[in-house]
Amino acid sequence: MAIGKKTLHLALVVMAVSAITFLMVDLLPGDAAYQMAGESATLEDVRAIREELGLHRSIVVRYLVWIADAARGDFGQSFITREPVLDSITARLPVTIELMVGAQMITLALAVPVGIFCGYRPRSGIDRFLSIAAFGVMSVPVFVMALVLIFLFALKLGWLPATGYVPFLENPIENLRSMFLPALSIALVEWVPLMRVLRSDMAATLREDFILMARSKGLPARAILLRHALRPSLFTLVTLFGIQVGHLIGGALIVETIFALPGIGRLLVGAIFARDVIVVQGCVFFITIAYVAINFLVDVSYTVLDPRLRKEVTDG
Amino acid sequence: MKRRWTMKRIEEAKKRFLAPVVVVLALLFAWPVQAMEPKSGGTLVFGAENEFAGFDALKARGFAICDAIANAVIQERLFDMAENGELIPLLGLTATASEDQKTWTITLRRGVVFHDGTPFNADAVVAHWSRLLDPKNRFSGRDTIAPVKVVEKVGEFTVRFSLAHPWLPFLQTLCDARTLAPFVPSPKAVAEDAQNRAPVGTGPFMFKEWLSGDRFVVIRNPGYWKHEKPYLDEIIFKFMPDHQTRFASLESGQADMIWTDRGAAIEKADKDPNLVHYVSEGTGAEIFILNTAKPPLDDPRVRKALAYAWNQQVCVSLSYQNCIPVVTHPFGSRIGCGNANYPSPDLQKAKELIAAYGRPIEIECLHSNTKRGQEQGELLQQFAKEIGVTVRPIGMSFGPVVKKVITGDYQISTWRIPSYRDQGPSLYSGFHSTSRRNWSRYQSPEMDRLLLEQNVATDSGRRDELLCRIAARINEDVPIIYRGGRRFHVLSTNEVKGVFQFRNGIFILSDLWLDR
Repeated sequence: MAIGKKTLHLALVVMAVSAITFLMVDLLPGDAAYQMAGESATLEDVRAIREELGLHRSIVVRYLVWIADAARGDFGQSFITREPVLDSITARLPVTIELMVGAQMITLALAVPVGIFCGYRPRSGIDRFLSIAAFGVMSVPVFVMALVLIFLFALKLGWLPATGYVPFLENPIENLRSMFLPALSIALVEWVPLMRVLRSDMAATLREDFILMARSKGLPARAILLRHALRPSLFTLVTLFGIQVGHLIGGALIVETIFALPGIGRLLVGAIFARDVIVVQGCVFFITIAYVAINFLVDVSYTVLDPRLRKEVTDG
Repeated sequence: MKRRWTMKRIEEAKKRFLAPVVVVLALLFAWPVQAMEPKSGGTLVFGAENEFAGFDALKARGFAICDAIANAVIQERLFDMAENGELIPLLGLTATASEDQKTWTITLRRGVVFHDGTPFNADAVVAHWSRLLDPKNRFSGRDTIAPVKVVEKVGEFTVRFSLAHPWLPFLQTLCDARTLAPFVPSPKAVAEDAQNRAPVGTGPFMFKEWLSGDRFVVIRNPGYWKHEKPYLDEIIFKFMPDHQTRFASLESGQADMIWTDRGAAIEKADKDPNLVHYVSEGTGAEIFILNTAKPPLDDPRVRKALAYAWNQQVCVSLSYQNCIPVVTHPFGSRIGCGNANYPSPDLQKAKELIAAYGRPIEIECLHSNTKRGQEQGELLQQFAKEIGVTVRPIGMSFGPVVKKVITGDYQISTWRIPSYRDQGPSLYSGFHSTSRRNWSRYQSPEMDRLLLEQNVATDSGRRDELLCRIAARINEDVPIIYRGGRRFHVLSTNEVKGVFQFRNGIFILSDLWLDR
């Protein structure tokens, strides 16, 4: 029953988002026909292309045709490259997912220990120093961070490649080497908000009575922090983490462009600029599903963190 | 006596030492030749600026320089042309014109096979050209081949091109690697609708894979008709849109060659002993196109005033860091037109023309949504301000700019004259009053006459003179303003060796090898 409700919810969200996206792309100035026609085309050429692509039909008809095809698993062909949309997306999805997973692993590896420590020692010298350093790093735009990392690790030290992507199955070591700098570029900016919310929640949790109880029982600080204080302090972090993951599923365009990664971000933005609405719809479809799925996983994680919520969530 | 003795000694010395000297000199000259012996094998990584659009002449929309570089290793033309105009046989062997120059008979190379096993012969050439010439197919480059009426098979390895009139650019057009029309694809791949994404040609490299957004890979064609070539096993074209990281890839050794148009990278490469910089002068130009049908630009005084106010040298220095030339015509170094009446910057003259016009002037200038496009829009704004003209730069992405220009809904826009080998057809298309591609809406009976005359001219000297007069007319009437010429740059590591052919922006990778 709960699963049925969630599936219906997913379908409604996908339809609503795809309809809004379709309309918004259609409202943008220019269309794919002119993009395809290029500078040497005539008005007759443009008209012929519009007919070929079905752009002469009304937006409602075009959207209904797209939805009907998508329901059968046919997401159409790119107006510009003629490549099947599903092929374009499935080729790029592993890159984006790997970038997201890598970035978030580094993010958590930085945010959680620092957040715990700063929450344990709020307003201490180290807390102030780490906070200032964190805000300093967060203030650096991600493209600057990426270029600095390339300069340092690729050009000066020669440890890691500057650009490019090697599929994991082709060469796992080269794959990890090629993904480390892009993931680090993202993580160095993303870890700060997670660290700050965890610090804040930890500091609040450590003032609770049950923590005082644990201290009075003589439990070591490590046990108090990791076993008793951390879990109830994770709600905000998990929520924010879920939002970050959803955002990265949509692709980190700047990092993908700088590191020449064939991810969803570049595909989506390129399609928007080219008014390749079929590719845009395909990307939005998958991103929407990803967002809803992540949202669901975040809800489930609450129940793991707090068993009192299990009954509430399963009842939807 | 003394002289005779000296001469005798000289003769003896010659006999004694000549042979050893000859041997030493031979070794000295032979040694570098031995060291330069091509090495077979290896993978060359080429950093391309953009994702490729496709390789089917009818389906590929937008054929950029990097697309053309990749295409040239897979598909082949009938001929290439050296800088001095000499025809270089490729798939074609000879080209003979009829007396009236309206028919060209071309003999084809035998024993050539497409990568998919289809034999190359007259049928393949006829199939390709018939497809381009069929009006139902709406080939986007048909203006550049307009005088070609029909291509027929005369024999198994002979074809005949019939032209509507004598057409001097014919051979140049057959040799132009900047468009897909001259390249003969496999008829089988075209029939199967595979040519666009999985091109099949007769070239030294065969298509292997195309990972969208990542790379385009070609591998050595073991059955290539130049049996000793190519030397490389594989070429990987990696798509690297960001110019800084493209250069970083070259510096770090991830890429062996890159295409670039950035002055900072070129300057660094010139100072780096491990990098080599190749330059090719091109034709065409980067321009502002002016809508001569829309006020106030319908008044030639306003257009001329903007031309006098504009300083091309500043644009080339600031926006292009001098990696393109200042030009006064679109012919590059192929035709010497001198100054061609180019309106050099002259604020006084500009102000006088504006005063004569007598009304406030406000103009919108469309430009690409890139940093460079924005710079140039703002440059025009600043120069125009000095003569009392208000220019409002408006940034847009490519598609909307094309729409506005094609539909005439613009006043000024950044645009370009493509870098075709022969500019005659492109100028005809761009400036003849009846052309459907006359986006500046320029109307001039004299220009029409000049364009028609150069189109049917049979004497190359006379035709060059006509083209120069066309360039002068353009500079006089100002339907366009030059932002800069075309100059192409490829950077490579010094491990890349071989015969470097870099003409009109197309770097031929086929004859390269790696010294590793």
